[in-house]
Amino acid sequence: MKCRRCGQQAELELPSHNAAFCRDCFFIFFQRQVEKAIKKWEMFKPQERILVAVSGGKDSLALWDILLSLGYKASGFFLDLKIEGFSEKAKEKVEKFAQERQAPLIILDLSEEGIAIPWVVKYSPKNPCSVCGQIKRYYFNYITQKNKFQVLATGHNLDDETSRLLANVLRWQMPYLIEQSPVLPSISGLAKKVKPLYRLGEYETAAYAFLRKIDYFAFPCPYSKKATSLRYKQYMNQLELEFPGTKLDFYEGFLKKLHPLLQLLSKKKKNKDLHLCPQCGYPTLSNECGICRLKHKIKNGN
Amino acid sequence: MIKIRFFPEGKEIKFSKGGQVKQILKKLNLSPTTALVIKNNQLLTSDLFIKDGDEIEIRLVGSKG
Repeated sequence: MKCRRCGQQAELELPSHNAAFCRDCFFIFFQRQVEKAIKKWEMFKPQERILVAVSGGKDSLALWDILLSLGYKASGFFLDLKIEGFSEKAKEKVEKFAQERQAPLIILDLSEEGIAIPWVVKYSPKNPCSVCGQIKRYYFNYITQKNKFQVLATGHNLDDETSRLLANVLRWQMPYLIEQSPVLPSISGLAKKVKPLYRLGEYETAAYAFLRKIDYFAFPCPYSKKATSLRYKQYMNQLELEFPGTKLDFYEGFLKKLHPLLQLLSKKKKNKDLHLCPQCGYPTLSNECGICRLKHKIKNGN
Repeated sequence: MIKIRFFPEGKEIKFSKGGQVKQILKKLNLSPTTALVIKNNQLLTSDLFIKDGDEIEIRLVGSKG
């Protein structure tokens, strides 16, 4: 198979783009997809400081790598979940990556915050992935604002976005559909959030990480065995195999046709009940935000 | 015989004979865009052949949560 751009032996075939690429031309393709996403959604400007949430996995490290390669001021943030046999190894990969590239890295230890994931799993009735996601969003936001970054970037890819969109559409989860976007603007108490990899699938991010010699962490979280999102990804993969390009069409179609209507709806229906948590300043619908409640629960042992 | 090593687990299996990458993936119940097939630090497209004596690495690309 030959590269579509230069005619050399290809290393990857991308049926969704009806293309095959050699290593160098794939890097150009990957870079253009990221630049297209950044420009189209006005994610950030060259002079702005970006905080990249890094887990040690292929997607977030690929994102940090491409942003640094493009010359952006991108710092990494690793949230140490303190999951035994998992977090330490992931942290090592992130520290190695940062050191090799001389890139700034912020690390926050959840046990020092009184909210390490193994304790949370013990005290929260929620699904571990759901509560862990809530804690991550909280601390990503907290560190972005505390350190005065203009924007928080996450490594969500096309597979993450389409599997989530499928799940939300199947149940017509309107509040979740309203919030599904490559950019979430900064609103009171919340930092701007962006997903520059949203046009690239897991195959592309894995290939990029491998070809760029990124030493990433690939083992699953011990608490993620029941994650339903993995099932939706499998269903999307089946559709993609039969109809290449389905994922990109599904997501870009949503962004072009439904997203603008949903934004109009959300502007009309402003959430009047939302206020800031008196303890920490995070937006909440309750008297106290979910994270502060959880911290108290763990501290009091109930 | 060909040797296949799975990343990151390091598990190894052997097939008695080689074949086209797409056939090897099919035997493993994988489709071409769900796994990277690596030989000598290069990615292989599904039309290439794995010869007798070759050693390859397979990386599933899906996040495992």
